[in-house]
Amino acid sequence: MSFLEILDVHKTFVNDEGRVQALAGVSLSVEKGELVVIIGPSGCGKTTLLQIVAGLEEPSKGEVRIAGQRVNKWGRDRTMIFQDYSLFPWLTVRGNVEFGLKMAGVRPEERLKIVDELIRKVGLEGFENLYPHELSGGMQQRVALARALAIDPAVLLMDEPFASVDALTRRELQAELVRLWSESRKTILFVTHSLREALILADRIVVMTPRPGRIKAIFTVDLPRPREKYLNELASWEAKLMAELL
Amino acid sequence: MLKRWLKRASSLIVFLLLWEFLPQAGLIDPILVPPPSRVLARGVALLADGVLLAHMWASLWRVFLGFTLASAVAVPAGIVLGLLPGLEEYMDLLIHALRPLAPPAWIPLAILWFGIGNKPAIFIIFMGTVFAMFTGVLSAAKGVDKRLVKTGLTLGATPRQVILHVVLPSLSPAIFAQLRIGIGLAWMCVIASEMVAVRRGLGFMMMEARNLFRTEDILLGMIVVGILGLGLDSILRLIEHRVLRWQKGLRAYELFGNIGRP
Repeated sequence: MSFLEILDVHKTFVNDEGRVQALAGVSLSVEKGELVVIIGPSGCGKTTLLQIVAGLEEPSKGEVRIAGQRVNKWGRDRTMIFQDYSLFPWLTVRGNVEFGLKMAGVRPEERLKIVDELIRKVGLEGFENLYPHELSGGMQQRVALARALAIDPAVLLMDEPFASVDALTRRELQAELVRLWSESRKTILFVTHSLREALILADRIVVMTPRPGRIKAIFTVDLPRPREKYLNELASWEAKLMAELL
Repeated sequence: MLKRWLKRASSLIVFLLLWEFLPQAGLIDPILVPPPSRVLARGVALLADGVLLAHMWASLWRVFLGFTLASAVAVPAGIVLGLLPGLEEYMDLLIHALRPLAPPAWIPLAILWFGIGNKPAIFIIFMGTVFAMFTGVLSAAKGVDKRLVKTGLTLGATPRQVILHVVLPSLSPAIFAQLRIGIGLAWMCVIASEMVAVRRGLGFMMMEARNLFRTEDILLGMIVVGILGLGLDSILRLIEHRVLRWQKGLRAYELFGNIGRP
């Protein structure tokens, strides 16, 4: 039995115009500490799948299990990171990072220790007392990452988290995520549009079909990390994935 | 600095000079328009014997009670109904039927129900402010960013914590805007209600002065009402400024210079 199990998940949205089937039977098993990247055309239900794992949407059919337990509500064991960072604009960097700990009632001294360490890890020392809008996009996403890691979730759900930063920052953030992930060995489900990003990050890449979303293929990427230097291998992998997507 | 101040004050100075000079010169009947020097003298006299302070205190106390009560209902109700659209549908028609009633329209009922005194005045203030503030908070609550709420939930916050620590702070600019509208309305309501429903307060003082043909007391009342209204708004603005410090650097008006600065 795998740590995270997505079992025959269907999702149909009903709105005024009728019914839209977003997911048509997705099954996926993810091991503890695995970094799985989901790619697929726009509207293939990648985001919906993440929301279902997060417990923010209910599947029309099927279920999600974490360590054998059925998921039926959101919880701090599955934290979500969005493309637009979704930082709380009224809280400083420190306030954002410690949000989850504060909600959980962690004592201030302990909070301070965890938060300081994370802020250092993501390279935000000296910016603790700034508000999100005073930071660049890349820095804001670091805050979001630190905020999610602060509560030590079992699963990190990342919905195109690096899609709105510039190319250089994006590469930095990818490297940083790989580094943080190798230290913490969190289970990560990561959605992206970028094949290169998927290849830099993933243990396994899940390719989805256009709507209604199904899993079309799963690839295990066995290149050692950091992978940026394996230009030829990355290029041939990219061609392979592209062929699968088209 | 002084020059700028003079520039801003110039229209007021000219107005005061004309107001002083025209009745003194006999060009306007000083019984109908007593000059500001006489209004000022009257103000000093009434302050000295404590009458003016008693009226001011009576009005302010009513505003405080009515406004606090109305905010305590309007803000939570606006948030809850804004977040639970199902509930709003039930309430919608009733609220929109009561809302357009102008505050003075509540006066006859207030007197019938509560007689003369603080109670009818507070009731009128409550009715005159609660709907405006409620509707404002409601529409703001409907616009709370879904992703912020989702983020809060997946960070382990309980629904209650999400309301307190995510929804409330994200609504705080809108809530302050509504409170400032509310305090302005409350101040208008208290004066109107005091003209009929009570035997103390600035509104009462002005109505009594009319009966006694003391025009300077009417004008004095108007000036005090204006100053206190401004004072109430300034207090809220000061609190707002402190609470919403995080918004510095987010506001559009900073982009366009000082035009329309609140």
